[in-house]
Amino acid sequence: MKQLGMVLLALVISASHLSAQEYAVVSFSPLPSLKRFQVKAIFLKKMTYLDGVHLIAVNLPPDHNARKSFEKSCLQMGRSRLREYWTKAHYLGHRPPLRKDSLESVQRFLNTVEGTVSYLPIEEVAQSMNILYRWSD
Amino acid sequence: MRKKLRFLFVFVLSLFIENGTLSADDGYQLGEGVQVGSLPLYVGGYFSLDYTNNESYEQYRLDDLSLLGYGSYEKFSYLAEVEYKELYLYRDENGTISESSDHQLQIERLYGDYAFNEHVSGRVGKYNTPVGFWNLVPINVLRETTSSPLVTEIIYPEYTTGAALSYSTIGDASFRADVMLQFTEGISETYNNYNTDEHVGLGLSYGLDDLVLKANAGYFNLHDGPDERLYYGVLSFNYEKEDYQFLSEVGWRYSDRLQQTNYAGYLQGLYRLTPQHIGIVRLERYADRSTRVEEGFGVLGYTYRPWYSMALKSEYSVHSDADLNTFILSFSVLF
Repeated sequence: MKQLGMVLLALVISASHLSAQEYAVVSFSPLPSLKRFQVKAIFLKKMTYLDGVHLIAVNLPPDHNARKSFEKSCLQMGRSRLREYWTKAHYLGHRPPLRKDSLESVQRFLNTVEGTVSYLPIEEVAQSMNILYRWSD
Repeated sequence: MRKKLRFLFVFVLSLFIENGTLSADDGYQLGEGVQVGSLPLYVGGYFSLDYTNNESYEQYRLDDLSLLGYGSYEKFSYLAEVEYKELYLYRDENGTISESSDHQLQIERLYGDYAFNEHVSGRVGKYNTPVGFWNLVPINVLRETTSSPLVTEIIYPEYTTGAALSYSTIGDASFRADVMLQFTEGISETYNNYNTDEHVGLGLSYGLDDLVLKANAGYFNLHDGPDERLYYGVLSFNYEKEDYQFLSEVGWRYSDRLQQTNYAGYLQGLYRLTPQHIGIVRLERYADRSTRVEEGFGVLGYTYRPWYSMALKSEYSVHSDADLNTFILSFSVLF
């Protein structure tokens, strides 16, 4: 009975690992690996240059799973707090990051505009992309 | 006019609350401004209506009718803002009625920024003095209560006209140093809380996720006042989570002519029952040696935000002298 319990527990743990989605913050520009606080600063437009590269943060639509996970794990800010932040930023003369409507659109933008930084599910990351930061759900 | 203002207050409120289309996900979000064509120019603005009642007077006011424009191009960015400060004021002071209207357009902010590299940036023009937290976003709709803490009004100049230089670095935490310099008369200086012709200040801030600590110090001279230097220092912190926030600023101001030190400070707690319904408690204490007043008081507030960029606020301040107890109601919008 005890062995059966152990087997069930192992199954539950491995199932939860299988379902965890991994994501990456990526760029085609030659940027160094980032800490979470730096990723947050880039997407809150507090950091707009790094190693001489002008950074352009690009978001996915608000209801996209990758964006929800990014806001929860990397920004660690809820939607209402982000709305508050960007409303204050408008008064201070700053704009929110650009938004692209799909993963394909983000990938195209990453490929064509130097300095673009965005996030993708790990399976969508091309080999030539520079992975700056990784996280999982 | 008072009836007209009441009507305007109710009409604008009902318009925004009944008509939710302004927040629809159709490209424009209330409180984020609009871009002019494809130019590097975004425009927006804000206004505030308020009602004040205490033992001495009752007052209606259309305040802060403002237009702002800003944009950026590569390493350069700019911001310009003009404002009617007190466009209409009706006051009933124990039966003595007064009405006034200030139609003078003031330059609230006007500056250009340049990013030299990822760490260093400079600013030239008129800007909100970057001391503490409250004075960075001091307009009614963005602050948590209609009234502002005394430390933001009596310790240092709210605006500086001149140059500023900042250094920042971000790793596991953030660090920022600011230097601000003013050696001329300010732009629209009559509108500043202190009419200054010299102001030198230094600020340091350290941020770690939800906590930010700041220290500021500096001095300023009054343009038309006696020959004296006023030195100030301010310590502040902001700790903010999704549902609550603690904010505090404590400041001192020393006059070398009068050999006096005044101080003011507050601790404010905020709790979001929901993003729309917010309760606020603020405790303040200050000392003004020239008038020999030293007092502590509290402010209780409730704010309703149908969207973050629109606020219907009520507050009641409780003083040791009951005649000073004041009720304030306001409606403000950023667009």
